[in-house]
Amino acid sequence: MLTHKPYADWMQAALDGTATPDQQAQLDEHRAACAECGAAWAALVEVERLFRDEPMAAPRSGFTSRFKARLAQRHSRPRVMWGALALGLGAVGAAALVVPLGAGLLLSGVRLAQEPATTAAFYSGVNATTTFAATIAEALFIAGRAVLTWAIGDPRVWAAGVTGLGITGAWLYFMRKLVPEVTFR
Amino acid sequence: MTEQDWVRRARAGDEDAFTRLVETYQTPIYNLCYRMLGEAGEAEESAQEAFLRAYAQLSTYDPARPFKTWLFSIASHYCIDRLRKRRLTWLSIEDETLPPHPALQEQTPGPEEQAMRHEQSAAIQAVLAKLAPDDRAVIVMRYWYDMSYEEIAAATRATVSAVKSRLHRARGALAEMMKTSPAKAPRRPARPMLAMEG
Repeated sequence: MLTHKPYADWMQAALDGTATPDQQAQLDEHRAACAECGAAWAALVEVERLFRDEPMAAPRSGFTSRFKARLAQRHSRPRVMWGALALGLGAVGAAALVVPLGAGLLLSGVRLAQEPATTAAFYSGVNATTTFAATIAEALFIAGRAVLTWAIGDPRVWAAGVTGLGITGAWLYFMRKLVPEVTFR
Repeated sequence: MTEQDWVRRARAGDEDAFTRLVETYQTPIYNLCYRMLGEAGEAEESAQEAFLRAYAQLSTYDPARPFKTWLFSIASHYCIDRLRKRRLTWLSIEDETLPPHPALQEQTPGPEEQAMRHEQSAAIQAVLAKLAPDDRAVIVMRYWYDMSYEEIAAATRATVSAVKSRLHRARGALAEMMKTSPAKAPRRPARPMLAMEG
């Protein structure tokens, strides 16, 4: 950095065109004698030249069209904001209803579970449910085995199965053709 | 019609009038953003955002002030904010030289001169990137737009003495950097002045 004051300030003034004739003359005289200030001045002049010669960078063509599109997008933003606000308020309202209800149910459940009679009833209920489920599963297994034994030997069941598969395949194929693709932006 | 007529119409809600102003100032604002940010995509994004902000804040524009200064103020502050946010994620760009802008590459005639100008543009962007955001804004406004200290002060919302101090410091820093990595290039004709078609 320049340290030879006041010449450093006068160099800046000379670049700005505000140096007085006396300052300019003293500066010129000093530069001729001082190699450091001479080099500093040359560097400043070079910077001045380089930056003033550098052209402006221009945007890609269609800048204004892109601006118009963005502006139109901004105009539609308030509607989105109102929608988001309505959704947010709805969620808060729903939470205001559901949270106290859920908390009430939970607390009631905890109180009920603490009663000895409730615990006995709970275990009895679990036992009855397990026995019932096991009986149903066994019955379904026996019935299924009987149906399979009959169906494997009957060609009409095979034909019905193949027809069903064909109809399902055709339905899927045409639905894919009919329903347009949904795209998100 | 004068620029102030377009501004008046834009303030009255005429989008087409504002579009006309965008057409006039797209290159100066884009160039300001590009010189500040050093990357074409980010410059486009920032220039677009600056115009959108200007459009949204048109009611706050004081017609007694030059429209150009007001617009530059919005764009430069936006770029400075962006640079400050970006600095949080920077690791180091000390030795990184930025590539010259594509639009600059198209304006050159011969391959040899083109190569030299690429080198010059890259050198300019590289040294600009090393300046503090506020100093960078002052340098860009001074050299690319020939703005006076008063105009720069108005655009950067700083005092004239602060602008002067920033410009002198930045010039000195640029001269030091140029001394260590000089960029030589042929002289080019002066840039055309910005003018609004009547």
